[in-house]
Amino acid sequence: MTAKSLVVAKFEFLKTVRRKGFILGTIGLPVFMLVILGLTMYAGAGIGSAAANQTCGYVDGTGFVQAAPGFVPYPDPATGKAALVNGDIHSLLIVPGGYISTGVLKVYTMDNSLLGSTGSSRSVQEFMAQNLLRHENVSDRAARNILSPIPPNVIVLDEAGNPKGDQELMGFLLPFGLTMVLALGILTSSGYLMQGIGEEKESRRGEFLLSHCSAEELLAGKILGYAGVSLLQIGVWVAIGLAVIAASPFAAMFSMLQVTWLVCLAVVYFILGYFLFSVSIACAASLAPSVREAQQVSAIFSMFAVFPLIFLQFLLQDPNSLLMQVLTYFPYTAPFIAMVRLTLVTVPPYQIIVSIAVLVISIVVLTRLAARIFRMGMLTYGKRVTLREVLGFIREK
Amino acid sequence: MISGDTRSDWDEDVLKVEHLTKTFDRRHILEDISFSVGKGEVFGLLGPNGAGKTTLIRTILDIFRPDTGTIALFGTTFSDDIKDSIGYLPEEGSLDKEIAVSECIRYFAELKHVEAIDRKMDAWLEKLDLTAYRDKKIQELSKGMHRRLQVILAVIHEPDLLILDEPFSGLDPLNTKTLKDILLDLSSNGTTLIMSTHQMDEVERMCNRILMLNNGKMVLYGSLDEIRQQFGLSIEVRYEGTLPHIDDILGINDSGNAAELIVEKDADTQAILQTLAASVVIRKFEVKQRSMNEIFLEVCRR
Repeated sequence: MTAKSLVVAKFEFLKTVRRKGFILGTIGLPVFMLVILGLTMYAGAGIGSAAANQTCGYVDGTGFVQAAPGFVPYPDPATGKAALVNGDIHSLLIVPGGYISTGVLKVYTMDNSLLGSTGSSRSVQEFMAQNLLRHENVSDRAARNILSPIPPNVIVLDEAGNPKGDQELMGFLLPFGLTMVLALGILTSSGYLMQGIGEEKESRRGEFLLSHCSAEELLAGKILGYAGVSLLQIGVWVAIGLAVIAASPFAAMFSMLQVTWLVCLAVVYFILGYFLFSVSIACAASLAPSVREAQQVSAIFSMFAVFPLIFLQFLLQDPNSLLMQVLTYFPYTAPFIAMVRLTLVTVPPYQIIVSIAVLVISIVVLTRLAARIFRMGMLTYGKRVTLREVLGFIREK
Repeated sequence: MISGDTRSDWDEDVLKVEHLTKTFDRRHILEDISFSVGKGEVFGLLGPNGAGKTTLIRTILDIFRPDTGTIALFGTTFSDDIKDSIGYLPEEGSLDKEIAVSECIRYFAELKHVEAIDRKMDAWLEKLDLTAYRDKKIQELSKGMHRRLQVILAVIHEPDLLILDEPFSGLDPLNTKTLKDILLDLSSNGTTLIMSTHQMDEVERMCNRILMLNNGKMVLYGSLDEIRQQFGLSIEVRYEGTLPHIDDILGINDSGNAAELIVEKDADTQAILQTLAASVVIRKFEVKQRSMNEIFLEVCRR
């Protein structure tokens, strides 16, 4: 990294972070997500409160149903229906005489909204479950456990049969999170790289820039600058996310997070993956004749970033399958697949070593070729570059 | 046709190119190019479109590497320090429109390791009448202003060698004069200029020597006087009547009552005048050296 690369990096970073689009995307997106989340939670709370405030009448044909808060008995269906029409109750539950054997219930209501019917249905089921348990002489304590079971305490054992600590169990969250951050970083930085390089090509600025610094310095500076942009954006998103989590009931769960060897590996994959993708995207952008075509090319690389999601089902079913092993060795999928596999199962060390070695070799080879492709690509204006020409670029001294 | 290096006023070579060859996709873009440019010289690089001028400039700037041959700048091979001693004004290419003029100048100045950037920036902005636009975005500049800004970027690091690709292209007469004055000022202060252009009148006014390329090959090289002499003399005749046949005429452009006769440099012009006077009424008879424009066209037609 030379001084000129740092000048390029500083320039690209400052130029991009001052753009309205960047500020809007960085601050506006999480705010938008929070608003959506808030609206969803508000609507959810509305469903509960709406159900809670609705009184339900019932007509018991079995003789074992007992009144409870929110449930008012009526002697016959006609009286109940009159109360419903009169607005004294929100709904009317008919428990027929053969309910024990058939389990069939009938509810009358004048509220045809989804919210109203969902709330009524849920509260009626709970009400009848309580009455059934009481009728079958189930103790109050047992009834409570049946109606509101406490989630089981899952204990994961290691290879020696000893229980893994909660902290290690939670440790998978950080590598998995880093995988997602890497994917997000590649998606965002590829956009900035594509736009930046595409604009320079369209405006035929490359030649002037290359008279000030070498292609290697320019490429390194751009990658560093846009990496900074991407990390800043993701950093803001993560910070906002963590602030929301800290203020939520899940805060205690995340306090158990700790840095393990898995996290160190995740960081290694993150750095290697980011560099590989940035160099590849910069080359592709330099070969595209316009910003629009550059963005289309970037979609190819964005595809690799969502590979873990595409293969999620296979990954979860058998993380050590042959397909997953192959994808662990392929440089463009290795950072994602390897990191997700590491969070799910024990991956043989040799696979990790080979995977990282392939990544490092790919980066070394690609970096050597990239400067040549980038240099020649930036000077090829207004036309699509053929494969033969790219091979010619690579052969250039 | 190639004259060769017959300089006498410049002892020190700023640029020396020897047997340079460059091939792209099995196509020879430059073939066996050899020339040198001395310190303080204004050197013209001429040739029709596609002749290889831009490739030659890019190779001098180390953007392209030669297949064979050598390029020596300031007596040595290319390095980062050498790069910082060269200024380049490309023919085309616009600057980032969304940034301020001062920000743009600072960026390119930092890339050339310029010290005291603000002082130099202000001086150049004033010199090129752009001070009022210092903090304005580049998109607010007119085409002429944009070109003047590019000139600042090319010279703010006080280069020893300034390479200009079609410097006057698209400029109005006022901006052309401003730019020419600056270039001549730089030249008088010892900056070596290499200028690629199609504007032959500017070449005649500014350049000491030229190199002309055609199809990647050297076709002319030397001082303007030497080259003009190679191409004989031009006789401008205005007449009434029918032109007679004259021996030793190399070429003739006849338009009815006026003609341009091309003759050998040592032709007997008095004998030609007498021959003409015997057949037609002569209104004008002027012997002059051939213009660079004529020479350019003739060489390109070959």
